[in-house]
Amino acid sequence: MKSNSSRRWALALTLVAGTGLAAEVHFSGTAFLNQWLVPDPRVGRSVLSGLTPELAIKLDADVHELVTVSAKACFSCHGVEVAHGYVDFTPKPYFNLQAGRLVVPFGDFAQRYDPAAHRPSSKPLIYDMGRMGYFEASAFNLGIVPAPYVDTGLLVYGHAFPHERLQLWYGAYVVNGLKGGQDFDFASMRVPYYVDVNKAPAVGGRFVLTLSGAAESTFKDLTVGVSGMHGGYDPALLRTYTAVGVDAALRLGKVTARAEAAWIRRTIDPLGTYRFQVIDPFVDKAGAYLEVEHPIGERISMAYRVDALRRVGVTLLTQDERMAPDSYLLRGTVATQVALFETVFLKASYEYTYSNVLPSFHAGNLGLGATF
Amino acid sequence: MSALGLLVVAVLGSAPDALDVSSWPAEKQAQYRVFAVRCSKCHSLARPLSARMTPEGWRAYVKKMTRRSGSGINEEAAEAILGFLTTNLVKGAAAPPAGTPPQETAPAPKAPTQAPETLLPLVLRALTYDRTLPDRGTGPFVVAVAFDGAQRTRAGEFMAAVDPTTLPALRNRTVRLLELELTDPAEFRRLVAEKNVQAVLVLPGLAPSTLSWVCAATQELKRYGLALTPEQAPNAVVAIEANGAKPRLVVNASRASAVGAEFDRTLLQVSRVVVDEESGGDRLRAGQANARRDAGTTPLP
Repeated sequence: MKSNSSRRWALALTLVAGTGLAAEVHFSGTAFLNQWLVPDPRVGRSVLSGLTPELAIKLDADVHELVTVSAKACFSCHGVEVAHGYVDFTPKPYFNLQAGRLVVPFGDFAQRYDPAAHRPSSKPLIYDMGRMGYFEASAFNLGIVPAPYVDTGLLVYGHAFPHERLQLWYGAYVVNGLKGGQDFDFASMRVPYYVDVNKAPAVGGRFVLTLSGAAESTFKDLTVGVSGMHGGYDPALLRTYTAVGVDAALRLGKVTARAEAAWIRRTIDPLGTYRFQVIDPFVDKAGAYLEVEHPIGERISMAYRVDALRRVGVTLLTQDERMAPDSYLLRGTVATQVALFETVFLKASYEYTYSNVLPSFHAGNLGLGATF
Repeated sequence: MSALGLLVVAVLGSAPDALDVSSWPAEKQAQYRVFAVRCSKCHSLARPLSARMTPEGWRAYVKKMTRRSGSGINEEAAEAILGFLTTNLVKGAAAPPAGTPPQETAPAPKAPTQAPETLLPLVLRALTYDRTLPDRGTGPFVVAVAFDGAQRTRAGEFMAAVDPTTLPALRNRTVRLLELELTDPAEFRRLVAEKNVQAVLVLPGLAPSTLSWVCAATQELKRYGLALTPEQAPNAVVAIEANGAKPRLVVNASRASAVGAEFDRTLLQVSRVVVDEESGGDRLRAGQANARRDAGTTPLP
C-alpha cells in the first residue's frame, strides 16, 4: 500500500514538474529530524517517543498568470503522503478558488504547521497528533483538528481591505470531511485512497481580520480569526461533528503572542455500547493554548507555551479504563530555536504534561532542521 | 521601572533584524522593513532570502502570499516586498558591520589605471559566479565587443591587444570575442540572436545615446551587459572601477536581476554592489558591501 502510494506521489510530482516545463516552477521544502525523550517508563507506549523524521517537498508551477498547480509530498510518521495537491485559480483578490487536496483553513496554526514555521517541536494540543501524550484512540485520540488537516474538496477564498491597514480574509469550503467509526480515525483520513465515507460533504469557513501597524512602529499587527466546520463522519450519517475555533495573534516589536481556542462536538450513536451510561449523545473536546515567543540576539528564539485539552463525554469500551467522562491534559512548554546557518536550525524544548486521569510526565525534544 | 518592565523593554528593543540594511539606499531600507515585518509573520525570513526566483516568479509568489489569511499585505506593501526581493541578490552578504554609518552618497568612482583589455578577464571571471550560467546554452561563449562608427580604430586596437590565453573558460565554455559595430537597435538584436551572443561588452567612450539603447536592448534580450569603466556601470550587469591602485568589480544588482542572473555571495563580497535607485534609471547609490571593502579589494578566488 505504501509502495503504491509512493509511486502515485512520485508520479503526481512528476506530472506537476512536467506541467512546469512550460511554466515557472518553484521548488521548496523542509527537512526535520526530532528526538522526543520521555524518561518516565510508566507512560510507555502512550507516548510516541523516539526519533522522527519529517521531509516535505513542495512544487509550485505557475502554468498561467492566474493558475498555479501546487503539490507537496511529506515523508513522516505516516509514510509518504500528500500534504496538499491542488489547482489554485486566482483571478481577483476577492475571489479565488482552490480545488484538490487542500490544507483546510481551520485556525491560525494551519498556516504554521511546518516545523520551520513554529518554534516548539510539538504542535499545540488542539492540533497535535503523534507528538502529544496519550494520542491514541484508547486515550484522548489526538487533538481537536489535526494540523495539517488535508482533505479533498473546494475552497473559495479572498480578501479585501476596508481600510488600508485592515485586511479581511474569508474562506468557505466543501470537503469530504472527517471520518471514522465510533470516533474519528485520523490515520485512515490521511492514507490513500482519499474516499469519503458518506455522500454528504462537510462544510466550513474562516474569517480573519488583520490590523497592521506601520513598518516603523512597535505595533506590527493584530490578527483575530474565527473558524467553523460541520459534517458527518460515519457512512450512515448518524453521527455528525461541529467544530469551532477562535484565534488571536499580536506582534509587538519582536514579541509575538498567540492564543487559540477550539471546541468540537461529536455526536455518538446512543444505541452503542459504552463504558458508562449515555446521558448526552455527544462527546465534547475543548482546548486552548497561549504562546509567547521572542528572539534573543540574532540567532536564538525562545517560546513559552501553555496549553490544554479536555474531553467530556462517555468513554468507549475500547478506551483505557482510566479515562473518565471528564479527562484533561495540561502542558507547559519552554522551547528554543537556534539558527545555526541561514536555513539550518536546531530546536530544543522541555515539556511537562499533567493529566487528571493518566500519569503526568516530563519530556524533552531535540531536533535539527533545514529549509530549502 | 520594575524588573518586568526592564525585561519587556530589553526584549522589545534588543533583537536585531535578520539582515542589516542600514547602509542601503533609503528606499530599499523601507522596502526591507515591510518585507521583514510582513513575511516573518508566518515563516522565517531565511526561506525567501535563500530562494532563487526570477522577478516574474517573485511577482506570482508575492501575489499568493498577499492572499494568505492574516497576511496583512495590501497592494502598497506587496510592491515594497517585491521591490526588495527582486533586487536582493546579496542575501545578507552585503550588510556592513553594525555601527557602520549610513552611506547616503557614494564617492565618485574612478576609472582603473590599467589598460581596459587587461581588465576583460576579470569581468568575465565574474560571470562564473552566476548560478544561472549553466542554463545559458552550450558551445563557445560569445562576447560581442560593441562599438560605434567613431570607435572602429579603437575597437581594432582593443581586439588586437586582448591576449586570448588570459580569457577564462566559463564553465568549460571557451570565450570567443566578436566585433559588433552598432548601427541601430533592430540590427543589433538580429546580430545578437544570429551570432548566439551571450554577453555584450561596451567599449569605453561609447556615445551616451548609443550606450543607453544598446544596454537596454541587451537587458531585454537577457544577455549580460559588461563594461570596463565606472561611468558605464549604471548600464551594465558587471563593470569595473578603481579602488586605489587596484581594480574592483561593480555588480549592478538591479541589472543582474533583470537579466535573471543570480550571483553567488562569494563574488558579491569582493565587489561593490549597487542598485538602481529608480527602475531603469541611471543614478546609482553605493551598495552596502562597500564600506568595509573600501580599505582594500580582496582578489577573486
